[in-house]
Amino acid sequence: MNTTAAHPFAALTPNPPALPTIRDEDWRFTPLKAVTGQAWAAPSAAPVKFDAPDLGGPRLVFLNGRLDDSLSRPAGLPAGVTISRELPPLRQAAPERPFVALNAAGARDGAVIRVARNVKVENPLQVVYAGGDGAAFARLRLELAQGAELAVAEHFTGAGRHFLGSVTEASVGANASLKIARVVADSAQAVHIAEFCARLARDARLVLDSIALEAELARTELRIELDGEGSQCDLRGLALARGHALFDHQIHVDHAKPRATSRQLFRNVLDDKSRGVFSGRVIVRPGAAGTDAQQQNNNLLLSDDARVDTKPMLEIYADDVKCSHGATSGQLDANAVFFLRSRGLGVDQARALLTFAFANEIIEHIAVAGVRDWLGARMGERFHGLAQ
Amino acid sequence: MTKLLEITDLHVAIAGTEILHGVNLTVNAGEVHAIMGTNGSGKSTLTKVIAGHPDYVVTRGDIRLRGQSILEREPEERAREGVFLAFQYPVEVPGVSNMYFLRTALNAQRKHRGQPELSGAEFLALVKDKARLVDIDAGLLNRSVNEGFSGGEKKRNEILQLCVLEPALAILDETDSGLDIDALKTVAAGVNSLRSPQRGFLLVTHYQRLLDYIRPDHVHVLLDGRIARSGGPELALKLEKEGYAWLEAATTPS
Amino acid sequence: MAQNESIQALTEQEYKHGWVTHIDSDQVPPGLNEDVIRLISSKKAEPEWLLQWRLRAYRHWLTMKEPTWQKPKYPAIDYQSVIYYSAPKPKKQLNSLDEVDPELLATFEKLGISLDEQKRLAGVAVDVVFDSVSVKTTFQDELKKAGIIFCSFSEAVKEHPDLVRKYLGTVVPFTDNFFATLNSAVFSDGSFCYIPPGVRCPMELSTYFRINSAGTGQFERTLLVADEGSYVSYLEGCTAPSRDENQLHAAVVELVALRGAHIKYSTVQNWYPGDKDGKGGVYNFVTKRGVAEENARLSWTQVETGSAITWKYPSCILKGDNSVGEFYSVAMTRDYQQADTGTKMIHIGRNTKSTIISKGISAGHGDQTYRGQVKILKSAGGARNFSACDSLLLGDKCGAHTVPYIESSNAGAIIEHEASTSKISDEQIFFLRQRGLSEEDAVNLIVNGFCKDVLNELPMEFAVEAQKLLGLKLEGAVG
Repeated sequence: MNTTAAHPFAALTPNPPALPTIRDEDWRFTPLKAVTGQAWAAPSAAPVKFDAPDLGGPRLVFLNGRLDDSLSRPAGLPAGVTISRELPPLRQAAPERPFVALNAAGARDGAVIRVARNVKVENPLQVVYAGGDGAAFARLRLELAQGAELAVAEHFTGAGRHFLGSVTEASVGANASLKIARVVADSAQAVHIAEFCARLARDARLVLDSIALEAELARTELRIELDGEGSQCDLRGLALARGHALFDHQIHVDHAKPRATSRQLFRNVLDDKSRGVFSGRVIVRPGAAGTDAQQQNNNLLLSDDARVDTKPMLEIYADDVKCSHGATSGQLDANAVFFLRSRGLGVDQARALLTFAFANEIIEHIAVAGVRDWLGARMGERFHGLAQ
Repeated sequence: MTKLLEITDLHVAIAGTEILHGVNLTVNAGEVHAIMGTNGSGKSTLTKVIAGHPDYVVTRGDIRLRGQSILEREPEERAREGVFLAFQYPVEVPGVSNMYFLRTALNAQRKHRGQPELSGAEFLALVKDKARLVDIDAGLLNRSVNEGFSGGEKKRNEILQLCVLEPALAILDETDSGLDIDALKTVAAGVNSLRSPQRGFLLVTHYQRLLDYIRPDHVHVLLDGRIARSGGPELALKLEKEGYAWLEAATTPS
Repeated sequence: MAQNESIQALTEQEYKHGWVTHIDSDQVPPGLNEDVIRLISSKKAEPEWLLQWRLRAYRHWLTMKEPTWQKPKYPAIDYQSVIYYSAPKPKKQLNSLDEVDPELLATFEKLGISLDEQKRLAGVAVDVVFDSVSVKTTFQDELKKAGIIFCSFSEAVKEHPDLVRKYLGTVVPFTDNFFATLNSAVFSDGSFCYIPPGVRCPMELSTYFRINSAGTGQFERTLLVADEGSYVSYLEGCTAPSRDENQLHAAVVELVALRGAHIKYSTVQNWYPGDKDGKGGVYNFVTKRGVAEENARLSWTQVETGSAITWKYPSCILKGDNSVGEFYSVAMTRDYQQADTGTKMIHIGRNTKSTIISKGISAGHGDQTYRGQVKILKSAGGARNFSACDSLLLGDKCGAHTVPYIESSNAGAIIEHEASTSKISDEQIFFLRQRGLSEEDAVNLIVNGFCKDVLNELPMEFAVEAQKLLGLKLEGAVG
């Protein structure tokens, strides 16, 4: 080992922060070989192929970290909604989060979307992040005023080997509602380290679905601050990993105010030598009475070489709360497989059907309709393949 | 006009701390009153004390329903006399189906009023109509009361109860909080369908938006446990634009 | 606070079955020795092998120590002051129902148990055990047509000695535990039931137990054999008069489910719980166990509302491949009642499955422990267990404890355990009252909702009875 090797991002930014290792608690199950194994260059100017649906509404496309005017379509928005191309300052400064620091140093382009009071945006807004080679960063900020309603689809996609470090920050005003679907559907060599933070005011709602279909490494950190009384968040995730992929969901839900509700349901379906990581942390602050927090993580292991690491955590500093968590891990129910075979299905078909059913419970509840339909079709293809 | 609800010089304390310091309010039959105010102004306290929540102690003043003081009445007696409270944070009752609960409640009230109790079939017909009105899925009727309901479903379920119980006085405590605009419209439609010359409404809200859909006759601002200003719907619009600071400045402590 | 008032009232609710019937009874003197056992055996005209079995049990019992590991504690029992045999003295040999002592019939009317036509309509065959002796079994003729034997234990010993001898003690051997061994020595009567192969018992079978005489212990023994492919649903109900002293009830129930058979055994236990200061009440120390052969299924459902101390673990030995064990329980403790109850699921066969649903309700100074063992042997490949133990607390002086023992020697077994403890909240009660329900109905509704999963498992007539019973316990909940 060459211990004096240059920092993998040295070519992109002058003083890159030290990267974490598996000795750091938050990275224990997530080796960063895919990141540290090479020196990352700035992306080339070559055209980028990517795979994302066009939902027909307003759309922003970042190519290799730069907003592309020819592919973007910031039109069709009601009065009271603005999209501006700017690099918003990061609201969070977290020295213990190196990839946020890296984004702070490396991001060159970004967008801010503002929705005014009581304005409802009917069509979902799409944001596509596509990469072809090299390492890029991007930043998005969503600001919803009181009573505003917005749905967003974020697609993380591209071709070949590339790295994307993204940060999305949302502030959801009183009684406002944000629905967001995030999909990683990239090449099998792509690396995504993504951060999503939201702060919810009184009575605000967040519904978030995070789906990982293809990448070498995809880690998503969700940090939700329930900073208003009666605020609610509903977080769901699905990782369908195969080959050597590692998909990681790190969830932090902070119940800072009374009577907030949080729901977490995350599922991993792991085939071949893939790995799934789930770390769910719920903090109930002193005084957050009437908190209602539920957390559930279910894992399906399709091969003996797949591995899952799950770490549900509840930290409760208030009484009068209702909190629960549960985790399951297992293989397909042999009785169910047998039952389907006894009705004439082949063994692979039976396994595909049961796996599809397990995953589809997340897919069919995705709040952004266009993404739900597109993923439904992708799932069909994937599980058809499994049945061969 | 029939005086439905009269609140006079109402002082209310919880755990020894006075929250309301002399509230006066009259709701006549057929009227819709909206109460607005900042966090901690005493809005929720006012709704709970009218419904008879045991934690709140009336230290002075009176609450009369159709001319009769109800201070000594139990919560269920007030309910049977026609007081309905839609809760800000609807309560879950695990294992008790929504349908069974609603029928038990309706029959308890009908019995009190000397009306015959409804059979299962009669009730089913009634509740299906009402559920359609507030866009409640039939599946939710057979689930446990509010258990596993989304925030919006819980609020609509409160309005379903309102529509089934058809009270004389309906008090809505921040029913609009946490609702998307479409759900708000549904809730408003349910409430508007119940407006009648015999019925009074007290809407407590944090957001003026509700009043675009349920038009009030009177708007009151509660500030520090007193009604600081009363007016028509224009008062709500002014609050939406200017906030509460101008009122706080204008109110001199007594 | 309103809730505290309701809880206080709840703890003051009185026992409804606390009256005594004045009937002459035939008793043996208090105390226990070999002569008493010989006397019991001879009064029942038993064969020699049974007397010898009793004596072996008694001699073994003398070597045993009373267990102390359970959570409920009680003053030492003086086994020499207990009356081990008490029977209502018949005025003459009974030939028909009309000849049953009218006082006794009145007793059962009070209990709501009609021994005649009403039960025919309800389709329930009843065996009644009064103190220690079975007094009446209805519907014998109808059952006989289907080849089903349902009679008192004593009668079975006379009429079907081979069956009794073949199965007695095969599930709970006389060496099993202190109280089961005592029972084996002194049991006076009980019920016996045999369902022939392939027969689906056409009606619910039911036994009612009542302790009447003062100072008597009740030691009945139930043996139920379901032959291959048969089905039976069996119910037992229990009451006792209010007495200041504690009464001992140490029963044994043995279930044998042969290949493909299904036994559903339901209990509504309402023994006298003692008064509101914790004086008197029945000590209910019961051993219940069943063995399931291949593809057989055992279901225990219990609603435990009575007794000063309840101490029982209806268990399933899942011996055959694909056998299934189920345990559904509601236990309510109030005043100074204590319950230490749960189940054991012993998985021996392959692909055996067990389900445990336990609901505990504690009020007043009531204290309750769920104690459950799930044991998966190495031989039990593909075994599965699901356990859910929920506790509901009314007030802040009561307690709930959950003690699961999970022992798996097979890596392929899937075991899931869930537990929750909750309190009836003031907001729930206020909400229901705001909708027009009385406080009493509100508490009742919440409690019944909490128990629903288990009450649904009871046969319908008994579900209604159990629900009423839970309601009665909560009656007067408003101060």
